[in-house]
Amino acid sequence: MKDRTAAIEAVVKKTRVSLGLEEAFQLFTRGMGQWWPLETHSIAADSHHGRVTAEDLVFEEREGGRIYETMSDGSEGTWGSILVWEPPSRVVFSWKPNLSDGPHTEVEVRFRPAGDATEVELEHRGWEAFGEDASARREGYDSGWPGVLEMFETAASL
Amino acid sequence: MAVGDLAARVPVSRPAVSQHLKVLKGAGLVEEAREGTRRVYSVTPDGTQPLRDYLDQMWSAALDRYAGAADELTKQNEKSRDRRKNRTEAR
Repeated sequence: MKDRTAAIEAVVKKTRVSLGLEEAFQLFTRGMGQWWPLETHSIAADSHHGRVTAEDLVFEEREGGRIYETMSDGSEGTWGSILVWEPPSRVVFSWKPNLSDGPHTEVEVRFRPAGDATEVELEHRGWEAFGEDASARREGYDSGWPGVLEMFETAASL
Repeated sequence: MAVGDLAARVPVSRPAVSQHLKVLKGAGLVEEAREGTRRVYSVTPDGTQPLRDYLDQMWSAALDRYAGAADELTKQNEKSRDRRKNRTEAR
């Protein structure tokens, strides 16, 4: 059997923007609400099916600060909190932009100057927590079949 | 779990169960093994793979939007620089 506690490969993404280091960092953090695709990726989009929409995303610029969305009905939904705050080169935050029972994963974003531009590298990791949780659930509930059966029933009723 | 055992547990016909298992197998959520003439299905051990793929796409889309917003900001910065320059030259 595969060792489920072994590290699961992180999702790593890179991009390059034509902004200076500080501006690139600010746009990513303070300005997250300006570019994050809230219409498709938000707690509101996930759980309210269009009845309530996400209006803004607030990124509190300090260690321990929250990342949360504000919704059209006045409520808030917390996605995670800032774990490491090292402007303008590095930020790490916990991540769970939904209301599922799943654990938080972790996102680290690094900013490096490249001439007039800035290179941005993002790493989404911490899948171990998810793996352990998933395997615990599998062992607890008849090898995970209830979950699959649920999906199966949903698919069958379409 | 065999197809027949599964069919007994859900209000769906056996051929329909097979059809859906094919879809789940295609999505990498279940694995199939043969035991004689029976097909036995089990949940794929690394159930995080579909989630990983989804997040990979999500971050690609999000970072594209971030780069787009950065381009906009660069354009605005250039415009205000030009305006400042024009003002200085007009003096």
